[in-house]
Amino acid sequence: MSERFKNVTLALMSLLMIILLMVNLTLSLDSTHFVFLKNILGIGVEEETEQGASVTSNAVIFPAKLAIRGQDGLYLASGSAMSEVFSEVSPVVSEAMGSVSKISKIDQYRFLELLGGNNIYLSFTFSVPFSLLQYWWTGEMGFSSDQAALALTVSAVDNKVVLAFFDSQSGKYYLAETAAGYDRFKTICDNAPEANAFFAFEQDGCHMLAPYQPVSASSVYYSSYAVTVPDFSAEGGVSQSLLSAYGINPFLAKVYKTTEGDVVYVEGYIALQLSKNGMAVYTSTGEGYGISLDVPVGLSNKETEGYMIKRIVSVLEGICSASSCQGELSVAEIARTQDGYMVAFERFLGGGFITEPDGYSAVVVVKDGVITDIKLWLNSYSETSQTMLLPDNLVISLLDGEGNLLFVRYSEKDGILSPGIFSYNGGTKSGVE
Amino acid sequence: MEWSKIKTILILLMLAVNIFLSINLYSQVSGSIREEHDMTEHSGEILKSHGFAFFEDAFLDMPVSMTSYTFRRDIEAEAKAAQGLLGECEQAQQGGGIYQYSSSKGKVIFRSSGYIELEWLSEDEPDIEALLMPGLNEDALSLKKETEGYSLYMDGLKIVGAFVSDRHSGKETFAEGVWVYGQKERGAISRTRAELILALGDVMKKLNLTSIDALKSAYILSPLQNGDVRLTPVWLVVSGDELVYVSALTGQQITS
Repeated sequence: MSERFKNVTLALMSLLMIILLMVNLTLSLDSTHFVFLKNILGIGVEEETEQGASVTSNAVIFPAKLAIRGQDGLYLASGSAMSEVFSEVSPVVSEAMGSVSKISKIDQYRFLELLGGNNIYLSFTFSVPFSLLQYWWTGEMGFSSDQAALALTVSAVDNKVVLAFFDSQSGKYYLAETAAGYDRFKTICDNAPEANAFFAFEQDGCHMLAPYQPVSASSVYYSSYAVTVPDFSAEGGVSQSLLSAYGINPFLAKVYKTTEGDVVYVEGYIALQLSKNGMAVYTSTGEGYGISLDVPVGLSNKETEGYMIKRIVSVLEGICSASSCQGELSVAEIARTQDGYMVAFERFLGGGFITEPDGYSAVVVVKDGVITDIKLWLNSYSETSQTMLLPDNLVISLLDGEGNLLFVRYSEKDGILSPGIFSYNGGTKSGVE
Repeated sequence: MEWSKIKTILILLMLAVNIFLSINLYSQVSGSIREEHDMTEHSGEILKSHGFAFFEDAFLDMPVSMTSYTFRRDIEAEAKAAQGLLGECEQAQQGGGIYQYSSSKGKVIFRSSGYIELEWLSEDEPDIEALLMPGLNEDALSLKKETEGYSLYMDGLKIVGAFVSDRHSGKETFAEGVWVYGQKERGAISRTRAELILALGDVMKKLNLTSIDALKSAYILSPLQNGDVRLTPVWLVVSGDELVYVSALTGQQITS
């Protein structure tokens, strides 16, 4: 009996010792495990990386302009408020997009009339195929026509939510009925922040702008950022997680350094060149080699396109998170090639898109459902100060011609990313400030 | 006999080691709690030295840590809720994440990010709680009936933005608002109280506020683009007529 008691005591003591040792080690080492226990005990709280209540996930594309018209007038979102407002209006916009029916052509007058009433307005830097927009923002693709949207408004007619858009490729305007909730839409419009803008068609002297262009009437503030270029040539400068995100085995790949200071990883037909200016170039030369997008069978061409681009975004996000670069990538151009696609992305940061030295933040080539080329900027950005931008209505006198669109974009100079107002008209982008 | 002695020695040794480990654990935990408490008090003093006025123990009554949650939309729970109120009903999908359930008694529409609408046509009083209860599949969630509708609570803390109001028009009853139907996933953990006190000072300074008349913790419900909802823990500050929400995750002001 005594021996049995000792055996049980010994077993219990051993178990208790193991548990105590583990807890002691967990709490003394800064382990990320046992977060719950740490949380309960209120110690060793993890660093926060989320941006609070304004998180948008996998949006694939971000609007370049976002405005809400309520009782008091037009509110144009700017700076860091863009993400917050986008998050707020997303449910209604997604609902309207996902439930469109009975699309009909309307004239410009009717479109502008809708902009004059309560509405949520979004515009993009290029005409986005409506079916893709619907797929990315709702997960459904009920729309099969070829219309594209450059400017889009969710509005209301007779207490019913409607969606209207302008297709710059065809120059036509469309209106669709939706099943989106009117009360929810009205709440957003009723609670719109203080008016700070107007549409170009509403005031004289704005003929150089597209009539549906929102024009800010007061100064706006955007953050400036210090640019940090990753040092890939330093020891440990290329993490295993970064290589894994590209599908490269860090233990099997051969490493070279170029005379320019670039680092090159080669594994079979795959090469990854990490430049000292922060650009990473991934290339696959073997047929069928690369990062597979695992496109499910049975999808229509449009669904395949939408799915592939969504998958590309998640691949790029995986790479970016492995290299700690901020901002979210947004589709900026889609070009169909003989055997696939070329998709370009811009980085959306602090309410504006970044113009990289060679244009886009990422360019991806897909052949037969496999990513064969990726060019991606991996710089990271830290907020430094707030920059005031002049109201659009003071800038427009500098514009030439008609039908211009204005966007806030970031460009880098001497390691600082600064916002500026850029005009766009028929394929050319130029800074006006 | 020899083996028995060895066992006794081992038990004594392990007892000694366990006592040592327990004391060490206790000192670590109590030290951290004391340190956190001291830092909270110290941060409060810094705030006071910068001219902010607040009641005693304002910050020490706040929770040591909070967690954000994401609720994944659960269509089955929504269907169960609709059946609980309407009985046998028909489902219609209108795209855009809109699910409509209807019967002779009325109809319920579930929209993305927890938005619900009820149109009750029957002469009986609708049992709105039957519609809302299936959402409370987590022990931490609870509802509270208020004058104008129903509020949702998480761990006893109010979820700002989760509210369903009801109104009568003739024989018909209408209800609408935002509710949570889904499985929760734990997210990020809040900053320390000391960090939040200093962040709160910055926010109040920007807003030209100098007094804290009331301080509570709560959650803010915000929609996600994929139709889910996120609960962000916040510190809710009342300063005069102003109501300010400071994210317990980032220390930045957020709008509800």
